[in-house]
Amino acid sequence: MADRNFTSSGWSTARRMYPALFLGGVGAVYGGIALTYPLGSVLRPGAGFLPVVLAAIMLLMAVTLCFLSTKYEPDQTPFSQSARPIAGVLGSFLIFGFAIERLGIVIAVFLLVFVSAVARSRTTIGEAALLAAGLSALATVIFVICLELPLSLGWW
Amino acid sequence: MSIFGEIGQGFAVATSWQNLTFCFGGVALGTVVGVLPGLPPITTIAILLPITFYLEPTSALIMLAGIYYGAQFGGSQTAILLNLPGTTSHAVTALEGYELTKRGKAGTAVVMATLASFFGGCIATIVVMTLAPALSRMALQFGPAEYFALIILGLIAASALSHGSFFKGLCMVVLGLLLGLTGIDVNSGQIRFSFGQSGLVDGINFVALAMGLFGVTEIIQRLCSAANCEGSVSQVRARDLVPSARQLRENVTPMMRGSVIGSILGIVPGAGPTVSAFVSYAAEKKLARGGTPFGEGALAGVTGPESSNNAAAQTSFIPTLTLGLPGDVTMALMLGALMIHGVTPGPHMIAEHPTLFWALIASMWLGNLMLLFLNLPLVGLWVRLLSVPYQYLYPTVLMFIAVGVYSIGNSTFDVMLTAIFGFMGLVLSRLQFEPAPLLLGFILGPLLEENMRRALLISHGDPLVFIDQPISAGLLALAFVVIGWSVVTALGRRAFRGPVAAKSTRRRTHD
Repeated sequence: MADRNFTSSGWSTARRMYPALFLGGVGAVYGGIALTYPLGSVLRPGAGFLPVVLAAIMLLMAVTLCFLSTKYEPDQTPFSQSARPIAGVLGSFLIFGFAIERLGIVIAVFLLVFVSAVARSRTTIGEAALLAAGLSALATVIFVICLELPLSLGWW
Repeated sequence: MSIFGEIGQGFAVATSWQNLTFCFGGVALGTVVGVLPGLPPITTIAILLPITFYLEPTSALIMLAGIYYGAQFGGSQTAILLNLPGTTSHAVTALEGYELTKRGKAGTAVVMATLASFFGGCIATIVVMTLAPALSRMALQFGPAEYFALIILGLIAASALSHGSFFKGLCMVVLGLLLGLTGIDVNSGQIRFSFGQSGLVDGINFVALAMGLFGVTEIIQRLCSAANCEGSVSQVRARDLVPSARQLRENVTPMMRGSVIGSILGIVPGAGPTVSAFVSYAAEKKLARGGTPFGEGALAGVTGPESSNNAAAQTSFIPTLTLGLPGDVTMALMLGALMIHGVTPGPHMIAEHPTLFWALIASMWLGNLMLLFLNLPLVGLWVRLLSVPYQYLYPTVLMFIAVGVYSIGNSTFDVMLTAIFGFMGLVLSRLQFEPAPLLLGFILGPLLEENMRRALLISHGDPLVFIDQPISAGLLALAFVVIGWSVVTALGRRAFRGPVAAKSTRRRTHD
């Protein structure tokens, strides 16, 4: 991450609180769930003991971070610029997860590579298809033929 | 028999052509899986385990061990070149190593990391050879309270090393501990934090977590900032590969320190290569004098941890073999392999199977030498990975991550989980949290809970047990010293530099 030039006064206090809010949120959710587990005694701490302690520490840290977070500088990358890589890369994993057992490794890797390749805005459809075909063959050779992983080759 | 007689006998067994072949096969394979992100050594060892059933126990152990420490060699390459730590113990190498790559010094970094790995491996093998019996007796004195204190110390040291603030590092440790508690609680059978997903009942898959937080997040971030960093792949010339005499001289001390830290922490069950790499990095960061500042590509931040994790990879065999206590998941698998071969690791193992033990030690020497000669000529090849245009490279890496994660448990859920953690990594990075301490908290979370419970049970519920014992009290005191030191240096730096300079050193000052 490159340091960016901007004046810190340009950011509202609310945005500076994001890290603290994140921690507080996670701490509250985990603490809430942990309270439903048996706490046990000091002699035999139950399933909820350590989680409750950790969630409490996390909430305390969130409060402390509110006072420390004056130097937090939010990332300025506009969302529009990052939506495509995020959706493409994460989407490619979801598609792979969906396809690997239903359609087999050849098609699953093809889809994974194709979708993740077009996540980069300057890659053309043709390039992506070519790369996907090549890597799908490579994956088949490495994982199925060389390593003999129990992966289904196709949908048949 | 004298120690020389025993090691001589070990060499005699290890240098049989059969064992040499398995040793070479192991280290070569280890290097490859270490280099390939998303194909962790644990997967490879798991895949090869059935094959080794047909081998002699000695050959099997030599080969599996070769994969294990070979991966420690290879894992540094992708950590440095692509910011993709092949194994957890290289997460720390990536911090400075990748900075060096971004500054066009990839060749030097990789060569120095290889030399450091060799150095650490050799030192640690001497330690294993000479001190194994004595050190295992010392480790026997570690009760649950001591383990608990040691884990606390490791976690706090891990936060002190994090890129950003000490405090935010601690926050990530706590988050990691919570994530580590996912799944069935072994004591009560209670399923925790599974959010109704059957895939989470056995806990979060570590590889999915690590690959999501490091691999996927990094790729998305590079794509997001594609406009300014793409095509900036550094050109590496052959002469850049040869480190200067000055670089060698300056890194001898970090390598020595790393080897010592690694050798000591490797012996302690539960610590292992990852913790020792973290501690070594923290030590180098604190001791750095002049030169390139940490966070901007300090070579000592690569050589220290690299010698440390290799040293620990060797010495972590001590608790596994002599106590039957595996240092990490891979060692747990090795333990299983030994048991299948009818060798029960424990205090009597060296006495009952001296040939096996000493042949393993001898093979470590040979294996390290092989790794050095295997890796140095290949450095050019690894560095050339960089000249592959990123547009082709990242889909390939994603392919290895996806297939690797899936193949561990044939679980599509884990693939989805990787995507989720990739997204979480993005959120954390936007909020300027470092993921490395989280990973350590995740690994040590279950161990922390288990040892806390045992200690309390043994002391009949007296929480003072953690400060009653001298070793445990000493370790906890050390943890407080680290906290105090970090707070004082952070405050001192802030006061000294003042608000004007704070911006340029943002990463290190906003504690």
